[in-house]
Amino acid sequence: MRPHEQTDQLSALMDGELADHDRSALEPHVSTCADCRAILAALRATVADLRALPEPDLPPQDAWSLQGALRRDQRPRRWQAISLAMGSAAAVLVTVLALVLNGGAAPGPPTQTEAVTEGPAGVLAAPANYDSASVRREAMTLAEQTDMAGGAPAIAAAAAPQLSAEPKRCHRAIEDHGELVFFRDALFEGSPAFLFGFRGPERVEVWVTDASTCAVRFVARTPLAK
Amino acid sequence: MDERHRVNDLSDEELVRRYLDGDRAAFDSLVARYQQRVYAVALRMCGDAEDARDATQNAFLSAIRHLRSFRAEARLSTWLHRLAVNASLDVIRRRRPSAALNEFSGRPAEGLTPEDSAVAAERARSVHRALAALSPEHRAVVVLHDLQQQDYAEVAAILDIPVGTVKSRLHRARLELAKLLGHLREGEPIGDEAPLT
Repeated sequence: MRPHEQTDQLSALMDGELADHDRSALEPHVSTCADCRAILAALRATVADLRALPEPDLPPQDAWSLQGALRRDQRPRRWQAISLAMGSAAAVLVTVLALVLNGGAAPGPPTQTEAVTEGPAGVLAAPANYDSASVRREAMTLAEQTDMAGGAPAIAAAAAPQLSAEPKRCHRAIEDHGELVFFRDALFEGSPAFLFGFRGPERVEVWVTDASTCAVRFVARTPLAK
Repeated sequence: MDERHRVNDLSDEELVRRYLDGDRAAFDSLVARYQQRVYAVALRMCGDAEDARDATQNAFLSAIRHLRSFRAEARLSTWLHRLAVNASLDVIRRRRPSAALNEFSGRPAEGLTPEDSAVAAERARSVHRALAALSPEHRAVVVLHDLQQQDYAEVAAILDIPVGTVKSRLHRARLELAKLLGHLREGEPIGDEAPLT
């Protein structure tokens, strides 16, 4: 079969994608041209072969793991920067947080301010150095910002437990404790630490944990004004 | 009230808006709505089930990350198809040339005799091999138009190319497939002289 000017239009003709005037110019030619008809037949057979392919089917377990992977990715990007910069204990804690905040009931994007941000060329800015007074101020700020509309789970009355370096135990401790509303890494009295902000219907708490052992070093509690 | 049932009635645009307002479940609904389609594009493009799973995941990850800057005037479906094609092209580009592709199976056609099934399976393998022989750019137009049933205008929007390019690329790709599949030989007419309908 000899390709000629009209053969380039044959796919579009078959697909109904030619403008009316182009189609009415082409059809008389095709009806008398054996080569064009042969090409059309070949195109039809090819498309029929393609359409006969079995339907791709995403198996249910892959659909599930897709959802899981997407949830894990929905944590804010700065935590990825944190876990890269710190050591393995930090990575454990960041993983735990990802589990908590994405598997849990956090209602939408967290509203916390960024304490660790990427500066120019991706260099992490120096974390703030807290002491007990400034942690108490954080708690008070959080209390002021807290939306009084209900729905936050109650903060467990028990004293803040010691977090272990084990992801599952940290996860449970954090998840059971209350609604986690912010996380940042910082220094506490000069040593690397993490700050967690929790909020419940009656009070807010800010925990300071040691960045390497996850031991709780300080807790500030502020009741919410009624 | 069945929340999930209500969510299924929401438009794509409404789900996007809700997600951007903080409703994470809205994105889950979009994923559920589009995952088969995105996977189908990825599978046809990559020719390998595992690569297709990676491409599918990457496409949705890209969607989450860029949803905020997704312009409302483009259709979400167009955008997701584009992410699927691009994610597939990335996976294809990163592959080692010698990497073996795992034959994938889709839903088997129903009601076929065992003999017909075997014939269909062999035919499917030939078609897969022929698709894999196309350049990724040619494969994309075939996958989107002939397999995903998108019209020329939609394929052009997805790939961000002119309609004229879709038309010529598709035609060229089909001719190449036709040769590989034995429907066309150089220099000789072949097949029935079907009347133009």
